[in-house]
Parts: sequence; C-alpha cells; structure tokens
Amino acid sequence: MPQSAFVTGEYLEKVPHWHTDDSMWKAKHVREMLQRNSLLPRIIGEIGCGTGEVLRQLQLHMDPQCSFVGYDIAPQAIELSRKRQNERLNCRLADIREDANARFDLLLILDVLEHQENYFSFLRETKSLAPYKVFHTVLDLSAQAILRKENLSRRRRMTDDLHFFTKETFLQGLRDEDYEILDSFYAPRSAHRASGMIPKLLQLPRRICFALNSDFAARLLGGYSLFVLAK
Amino acid sequence: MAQNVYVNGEHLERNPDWHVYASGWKARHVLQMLRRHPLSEHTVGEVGCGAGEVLRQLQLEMDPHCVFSGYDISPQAIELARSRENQRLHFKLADIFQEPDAYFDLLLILDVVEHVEDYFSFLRSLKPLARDKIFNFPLDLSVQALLRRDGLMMRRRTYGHLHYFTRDLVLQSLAGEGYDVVDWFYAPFGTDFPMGAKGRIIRWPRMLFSAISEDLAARLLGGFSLFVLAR
Repeated sequence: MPQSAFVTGEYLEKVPHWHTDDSMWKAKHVREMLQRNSLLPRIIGEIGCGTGEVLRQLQLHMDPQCSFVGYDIAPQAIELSRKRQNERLNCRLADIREDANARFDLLLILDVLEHQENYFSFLRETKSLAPYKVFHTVLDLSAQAILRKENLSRRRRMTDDLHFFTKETFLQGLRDEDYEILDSFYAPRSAHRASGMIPKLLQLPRRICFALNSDFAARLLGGYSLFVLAK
Repeated sequence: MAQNVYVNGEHLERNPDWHVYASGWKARHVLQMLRRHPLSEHTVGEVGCGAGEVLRQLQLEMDPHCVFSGYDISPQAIELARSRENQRLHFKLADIFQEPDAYFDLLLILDVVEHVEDYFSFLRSLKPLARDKIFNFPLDLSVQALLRRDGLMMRRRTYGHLHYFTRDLVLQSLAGEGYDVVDWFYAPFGTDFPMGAKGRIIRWPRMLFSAISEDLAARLLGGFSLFVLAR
C-alpha cells in the first residue's frame, strides 16, 4: 500500500486548514442529529478528528461532564489539535482500531469513509466501538458532476476522495455491513460554503429544486452532504 | 463482508447464465485490442473467468498453441466452465493470488474490479502477475443513471457492483496504482445489448450521441464499457 497522503503531510499541503473552516457547521449538524433523536452521550469518540475543532465546538455546547476523544493517523493534524485539548478533550495520534480500550457512547465518522481504500472492512471493524455512530459524507455523485468532464477525478486529486456517493449508495453501504439506519438528513454544503452575491444567487435553483424534491435535487445538482445516525 | 455472493450461489440465482450472453462480445473487443497492439502472448490468464466462455471464444480465434487459464472463486462458475475445458484451456477454482506459479503473458480482468471490496489493493496485487493486462470496466456513472433513483442501486442489487466508474476514474485508478495505460476504447454495451423497452428506446439517442462524441454519450446516457490495455 502506498504511504497515505494523510501521514506524509501531502494532505496538509493540499488542504492547509484541514477543513477546520467547516468544523462549526459539522458540529451544529451533529448536535441537530442528537437533538432529533434525544441522545445524551457521555463519551464521544471521533475517527479522523483532524485538528479537533469539531470536538471543541461540541464541547462548547454540550454537557460539561461529557468526554471527547479524537483519533487521527496524521501527525500534522494531531499537532494542530494540541491547542484545543483540555482535561475532557483529548486527541490521539493513533488508528482507533488498534486501541483496545476504545469504547464510546457515540462515535463520529465525519468525512472519513470516502478516504478508505476498503470502506466496507472499515465499517465492519468500527461497528463494535460504540452503540451509536454519526456519519457525514459529501454527496459528490450528481448528474451535474458527471456531466462536467474530469470533475470527479479532479476531486480525487484535490481531496484524496477514493469513493463517491449518492444518498442511496451510502446508506446501502451501511446496510450491507449490518448497520441499522435510525435517521438521516441532507445538509446544504454548497449554500454553507457560498460567499458573495453571485455564488449565493447561484444557490437559488438548487434551493428551489430541493424544496420540490430533495432526493432528486441532490442527485441532479449536487451540493449536499448527508448526516446519518446508525446503530 | 456478508457471505460472498459468488461463493454461496446467490450470484448464479440472479444471473443464471453467468453473463455468458456477453462473452462473445467481450472476446471480440479483447481481440480488437490485440489487433491494435500485436502482442506475443503464449499464455493467457483470466481473473474471474466465470463460465469460461470468453476464453473459449478467444481460443477459437487465436494461435492454436496459446494456453488459456481461467480462475474463479465461485464453485458454481467453475462447474459451468468444466464443459469448455480442453488440452490448452484450463479452469481452476482458486484465488489467483494464492497460486504460486501464476504468471502470464496476458491477463484478462473483465468486469471484475467493480465487484471487489478493495479494488486498490486488488490492482496492486494483479500487477506482477502478467506483462500485459486487458481490463473491461462497465461505466455505470452517467447523467441518466444519476437521475433515476434506482439507477445505481439496480446495478448493485442485480450485478453486485460495489464501485462505479467514469472513464476518467478508471484511468486515474490504474495510473494511481502504477499502471502504464497503453490504450483504451469505449465499447457500446447498451447499444449492442439493449435491456427491455427502455433500453431499446435509449439505444437510438446513444447511437446518435456516439456519432458526435463517445465521451459525451458515455457520461450523458451511459451504456458503455471501457476496454483498457495496461502494463
């Protein structure tokens, strides 16, 4: 297996903020998922925690007795997480699957599956680590993405995404590995990222289409990601 | 992984002829590639040979001194292949990676990669098994497949496709695993084998768009496969 771009530092070169700019947005949707399903976890783990900002944002808004443990195989990410660590928030340079003590009430797996060469075995190996898991993935597969030449291969070069999903293929991947889907919702990722008048105006057709038929809009125009709660 | 559908007979139930109907078509395109790039092959192997009909068709057209060896992990497929065996055409119920002497002048990997959980390590493991490789990938990702709710899921349920490709993703995946892509071409599977009434209707726009641009037709309407010669 070639050395991972996450370990060599290549990924940090491509994505200097390590997606920290999206962390507050992701944390908000994780809390929304917990509220929708009346979950009050005491120990929360995160696989691929990056700079730890999602966990820090969750800590700011959740019960102060909650403990947070992040795992990442990227030394650069864990280095960036140092300043966020505190008594109840710890980030470790480790593969969670090799930590015999890794057991949580809730496990966050946000933007991780698409980077795994074998995401099926990854799902099998992480299933027993917590009763509840919240997944997030960007839904890169859309008609407009396919229509534009080399769009997906460019995304793979830029962000090291090895797999691309629709809502249907993502949920089926979970079901195939015996996960029980408890809840899922779309999050408007493009609208969140759009800044300036013109990019925001360009979101209008997407919003209208989404209001009419959310599944079709996600498959036609893309720009959405998916949060899933599974057991 | 849930019990392997190629081993437990489930794939045979869904595909009773084990795709033999398309074997002549695949063999024809393999021969087309060999005519474009005359290779001095004396031993030809096939990974995932199924019922063995592709190799039989090739044997009818190639140098009578060539030796053909097919491998499949499915007992049902190898059982179907037995009737095609002869002095220079052999089939083995085996994982080719467990065979210590498996090395060929030419290795065929036709409609296999999309079924493999970890196709990246699969591609890496195949590389030393032959000088030349001919791949066939179904190009499942198209605008029309994305617009239909069931477009990709039908391929997963019926054919067991775990991964979906465009031409660019195929070539990028091969290059990413160190393959040197020598040549490739589209093959119009959907036009040659229209499935049902919808398939017969879409056949005409596919032919029309193909005349303008095969690349655009493949991304817009689907129904194409990609044959690739790589080293």
